[in-house]
Amino acid sequence: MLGAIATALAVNVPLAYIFVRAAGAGWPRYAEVVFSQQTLALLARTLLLVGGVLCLAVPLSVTLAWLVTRTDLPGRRVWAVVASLPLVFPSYVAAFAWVSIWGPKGFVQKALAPLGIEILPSWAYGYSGAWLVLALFTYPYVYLLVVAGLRKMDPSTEEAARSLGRSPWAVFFSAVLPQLKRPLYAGSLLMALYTLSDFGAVSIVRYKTFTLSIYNAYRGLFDRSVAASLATVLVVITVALIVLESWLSSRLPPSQVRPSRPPERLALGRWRWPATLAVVLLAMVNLMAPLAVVVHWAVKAWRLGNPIGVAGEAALHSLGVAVLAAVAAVALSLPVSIWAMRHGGWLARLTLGMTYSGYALPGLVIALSLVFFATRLVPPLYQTVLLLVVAYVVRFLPEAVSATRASLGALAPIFEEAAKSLGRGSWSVLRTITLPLIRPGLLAGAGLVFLTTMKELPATLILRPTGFETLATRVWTATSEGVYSQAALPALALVGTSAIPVYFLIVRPVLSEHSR
Amino acid sequence: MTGQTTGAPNESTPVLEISNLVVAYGDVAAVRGVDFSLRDGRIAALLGPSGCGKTTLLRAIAGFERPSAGTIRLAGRTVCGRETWTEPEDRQVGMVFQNGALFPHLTVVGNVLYGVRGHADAHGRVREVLAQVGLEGLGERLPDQLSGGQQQRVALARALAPRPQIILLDEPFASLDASLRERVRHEVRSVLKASGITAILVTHDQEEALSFADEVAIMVEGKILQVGRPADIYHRPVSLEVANFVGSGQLLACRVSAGRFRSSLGTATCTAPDGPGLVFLRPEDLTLVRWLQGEGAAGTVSERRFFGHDVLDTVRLASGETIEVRSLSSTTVPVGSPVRLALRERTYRVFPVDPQI
Amino acid sequence: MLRGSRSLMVGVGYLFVTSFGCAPAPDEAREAREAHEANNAKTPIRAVGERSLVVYSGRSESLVGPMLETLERETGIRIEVRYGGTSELAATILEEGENSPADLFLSQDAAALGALSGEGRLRVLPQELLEAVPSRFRSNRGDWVGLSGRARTLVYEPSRISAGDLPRSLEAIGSDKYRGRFGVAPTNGSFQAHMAVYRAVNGAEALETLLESFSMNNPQAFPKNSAIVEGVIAGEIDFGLVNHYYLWRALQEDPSVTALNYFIPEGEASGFVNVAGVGVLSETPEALEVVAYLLSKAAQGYFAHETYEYPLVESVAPSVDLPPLSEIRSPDVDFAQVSAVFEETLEAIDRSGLIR
Repeated sequence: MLGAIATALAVNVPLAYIFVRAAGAGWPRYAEVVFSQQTLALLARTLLLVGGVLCLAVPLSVTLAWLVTRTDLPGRRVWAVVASLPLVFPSYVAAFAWVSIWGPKGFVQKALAPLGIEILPSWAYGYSGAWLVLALFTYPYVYLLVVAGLRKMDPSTEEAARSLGRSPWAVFFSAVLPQLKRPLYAGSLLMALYTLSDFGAVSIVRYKTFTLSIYNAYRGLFDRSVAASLATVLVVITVALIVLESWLSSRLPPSQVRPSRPPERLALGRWRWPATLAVVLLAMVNLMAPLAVVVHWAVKAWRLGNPIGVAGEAALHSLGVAVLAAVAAVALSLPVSIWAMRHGGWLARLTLGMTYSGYALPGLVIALSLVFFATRLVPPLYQTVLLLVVAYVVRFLPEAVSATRASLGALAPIFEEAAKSLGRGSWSVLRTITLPLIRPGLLAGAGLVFLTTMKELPATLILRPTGFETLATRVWTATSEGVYSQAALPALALVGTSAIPVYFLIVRPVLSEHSR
Repeated sequence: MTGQTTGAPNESTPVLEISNLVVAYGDVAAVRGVDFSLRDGRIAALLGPSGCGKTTLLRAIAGFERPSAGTIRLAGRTVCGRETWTEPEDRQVGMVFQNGALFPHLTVVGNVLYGVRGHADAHGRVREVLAQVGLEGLGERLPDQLSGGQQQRVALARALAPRPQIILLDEPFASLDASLRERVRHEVRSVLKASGITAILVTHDQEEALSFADEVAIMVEGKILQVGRPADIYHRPVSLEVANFVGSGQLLACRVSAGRFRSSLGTATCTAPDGPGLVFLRPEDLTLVRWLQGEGAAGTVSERRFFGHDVLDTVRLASGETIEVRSLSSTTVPVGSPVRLALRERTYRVFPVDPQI
Repeated sequence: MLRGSRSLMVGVGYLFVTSFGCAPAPDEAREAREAHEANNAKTPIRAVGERSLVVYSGRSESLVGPMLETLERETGIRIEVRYGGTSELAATILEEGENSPADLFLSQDAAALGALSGEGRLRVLPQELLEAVPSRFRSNRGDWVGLSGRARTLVYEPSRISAGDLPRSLEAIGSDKYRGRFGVAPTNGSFQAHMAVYRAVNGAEALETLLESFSMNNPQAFPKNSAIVEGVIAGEIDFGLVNHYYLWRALQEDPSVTALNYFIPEGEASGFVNVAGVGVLSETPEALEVVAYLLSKAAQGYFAHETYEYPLVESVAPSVDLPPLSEIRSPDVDFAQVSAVFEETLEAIDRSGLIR
């Protein structure tokens, strides 16, 4: 319990920092910044983006999940994996590839120009750009949860609906979709928070959100209180979303046990090939196209005879900190989750909620808050790997907490009670029963933290030990100098090394769930 | 109100003593002042409808619920009282859960060994209890490679292995197929009896409670209404509530005088003060004969339900009342036949009716 | 499946061990810092080997790295460089406060230096260092000095528009005849700094009017200067507002490029020379040695050669055929003043609709 509270407090360092900075300006200045028309407009823009992203990503995820789990889509096992892979692209790589393909000066426009098609509308930028990039590259957060939900669903409810005379279509809406509410809410929350804190995509496609605005305020340099004041609004939005999600989920019936048999697959019939084509097109847009861009950089570098940056050491650094962050985040997620899930009470729920508070904050704010506290309180830790890992944990703990919570929720307390009644103390039960049984969930949480840590840039740049290069900083160095060819190899290495653990820890367990 | 004990013999010391136990969730009390005790080697059943608090009571004994008042003593030691609290792992209480709750990641041996790891000759003990439940050859299987009945036997072996003071069984047969249930129940009872252990079974199935236990406690809405031998519970319920819950039965208006009651179906002995009352009749308390002259009330068979070994006839009496009668299925009376009903002779339970109501 | 993930964990464990081998271990970092703190405490006697500095560089590694290596060799000062975005590093220094490990800050632009100066974080430099560059390229307070200059210019394609037809002032870009023909990079720092200078010189209303005239004239918005130059070369636009050296970099990649630079001749703050510069954060004497080196002919020549930027020390000539720096118009503003209006400038750019 003490561990849980300590964790929650440590994770709230950025909040403390924001309040220190926002308060530093005094109430009148704070009110002037926060209760202004611009902030209101910013709020509208941000929420519009979050809403739009969800409105596209949720139907897309559900459709894809349904196609790969419930129909005879050709190659569905492959598509099931492919559909989850866009997650490995950092949003700055995804957005950059996006504009270089679809932008007014991009590959597609260049290819179309000889055909006399002079102008592609600039939909690659602005709202439409941010909306599409974020939705098309982050929908796997929802998709993976929905696939898991469909796998766990008892097919007999669908059969019951069929036997009551409903068409497969109607069955989907009346019997399947309502049972997917839990993964949909949880996935939507993750996506919403990701969208709120994203800097890479919105800055490249130039759509101003709170996060981008906070970065701009730091660029102003003079008044850090403005950035902090804006960040408080972001915190309020985050808390509101978390409260909303937990309220919605609390009204749902508890999730079901594993089904005894796999479901019948629906024959797509004449929709078989159109559906396949749609899935292929999607994969071309959000997987093959960005890969092609990165490969294009590499080829260009090779042609120009430019040195292709060797990524070996940076890759090891990336892997090292990502593994440390994943292990630390999962370990710290345990006391918080166990306390909240097994003992309950308002204090436990509050503690659990507190671990989420910083998730939607921009990485820059989190990094600066750690700069602020570390240089004042623990100077020896400043600019060490340890503090860097702390930053990752502060940023990404909620991913581990979600996974741990979900797997604890799915594990009936009965096993732990059985172990206790056999005379084992709490620690022994945790070690011999709870941990082994929720291991897949813990690994999935670790995989998610690993992935996001690999991609993390702003906090890495500020907090890394001097001279410590990761794949993400390598990509940044090259792109900020405009030498995209040098970004190619680290970017490929980043995507490749992320893909492996994502496949083994997140995707495969989800796909093989019912065959276990 | 506390449970009334009927026909309790007085032999050895109680293994379990519960007094005035209250378990509350917020404002709602699930267990509302229970007194209960169980002597060494006896098997008790806690019988009640779902939501009556019987599982909560069981979990309070095991230490998974914290009572808000009352005491629990196990083998003379207070494990839960005003200022004492023993954690579940220190209570020496074995528990068999509804679906077995076998650890899915451990083999049969791993499961059974779990509670005796570090004990002297732990493996010997595992072999011993597995032999007791008849699963010697299956030690290396994982739980999902076992049938439901086998899983429950492993769960029992696991609970028995550390030699607990008492075994608590929480609806352990509920998830088994009907055909299997009876057999597993019998096996479990035999194992428990053979090892001489004290046990409490929680169930909502009255047949299960009556056939499994040495004594049955009826629990309704957080209170124990009656504790007694199965036959006493069945034939001499202390209240209408108990009567209604244990088996099917019917109440018939009667009048008592001098230890006998008189009703439209005839007269028999009873234990009740003189005056108007309601006599509690089981379907098997009546005999049914094809229309003939003679004793008994006349009626017509309006419905017949066939159960294999026996049949249940619904008879409409001339007075308009309907009565259920259980007979051996060899009795052949077509629906619509006129019949006569007669009361078997035994001591009946009559609930006095307050004439002012 | 279980076996698979187990071997994965082993693999990851291996990587974890090796990564610690490569990363500066916390202990080493601490030792380095302790040594550094000892320096700050002005230990009177110091062995030559202990001379070390921490540099925060907002300028890129490929540019600064080789030069600092030369410097290390020549002076024996061990230099640890931390690369990052200029404004992020400046924000970091501000948050670090008195505990900042940085001895020196190399900034991409004057605004960041102005901000640090405004918060009193920079140390006043000796007069002889300051005087190495013209007064308009250094801090009024004497606490930072410019190292290289970047002039705002219009890059244009002579086959599509002649020099005579180009706007003669920044305000003239809003004229109807340029409708849809030009590019800006509204999110780029150089553009924003230029607009901040414009605001500092001409006032808030003038900036609003200027931005609105841009915005109404249907410009193409680009993410960065180099993209504008590419756009001009590709013929998508006729001219664009950029820094002078992007054209030279494009020429280096492709000598057949025919685009030219045009320095806007009229109007207050139509032209502007932004400077990259350096400020000193600690009392360490070595920091001044480094500043002196950066202002040396060798270093200035290197900057000019590598970046096509203007060397600020007058005795060093630009590496390419550029008009003399003294002829480039740039308003004489206090950069602290420019920083003070930076945020309002960003808001004005946002309001203008240049960024959708």
